[in-house]
Amino acid sequence: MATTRSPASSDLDHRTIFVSAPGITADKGFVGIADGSTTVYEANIDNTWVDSSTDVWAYLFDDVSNDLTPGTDRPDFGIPVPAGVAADNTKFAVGRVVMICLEGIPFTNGLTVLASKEDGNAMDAAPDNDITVALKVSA
Amino acid sequence: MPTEMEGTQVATGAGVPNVIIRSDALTATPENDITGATGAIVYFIMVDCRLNPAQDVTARLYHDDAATDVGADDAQLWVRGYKGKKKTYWFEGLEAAATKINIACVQEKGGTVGSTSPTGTVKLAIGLDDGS
Repeated sequence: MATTRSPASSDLDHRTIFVSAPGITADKGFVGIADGSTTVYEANIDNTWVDSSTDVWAYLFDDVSNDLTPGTDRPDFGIPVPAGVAADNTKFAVGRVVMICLEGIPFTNGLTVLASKEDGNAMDAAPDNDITVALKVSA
Repeated sequence: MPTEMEGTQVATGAGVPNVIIRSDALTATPENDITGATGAIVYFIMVDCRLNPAQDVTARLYHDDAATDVGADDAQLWVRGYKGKKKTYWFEGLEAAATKINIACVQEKGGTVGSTSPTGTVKLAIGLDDGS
């Protein structure tokens, strides 16, 4: 049976955005991922850059970064990431969280990520160390 | 000739989901202590807004031994539900809750402010390892 390649721009045509330290920095800066509409299928958050790091929260906003104000604008997703130990790359380390949505999460206004060590809406306490986010998004 | 390997059954509660908690109409009135114990780990959250066509919503999870004051208390985990659609969010790596877990659903984004219930019916299912 002949195989058929999925047409370009189908939902199967993903790409991965890797935002590495100091991408999401300890100075609580927003990281703009996309200015336009995109769909997120997976968020892979890594809080294992250093040992004994603090719990952090990764926030995903359906908005562009230059429109956002920490502590005022509300994120669409708040994902807790436990304090981790430095990864040894041999196992799924404590301090990594993966969120997968097979149907896809629509970010129609843009996509921005922020990390904080506070839960809820406060978001005004920066993590003690850098974290990394890898996002699988629509092409 | 390949060597036959013995499989090992994973004991219930040992890091795999063993409980599904379902709410057939989650609102801003919290459903408190959904597992009846502390120490639960969340593995998936299904937010079904097919009977809520009017607005997107936020499903909030609170780690709290007391009843949650929605709109005032901070949620520890929240995800969006999209009007007229069903989404399932799968997780790996979330920490066990040191407290009980309470849930609520509001129209507003974010994890604290906002206590407006959806206008339609939002169903929620959460898969957890309740630690038992």
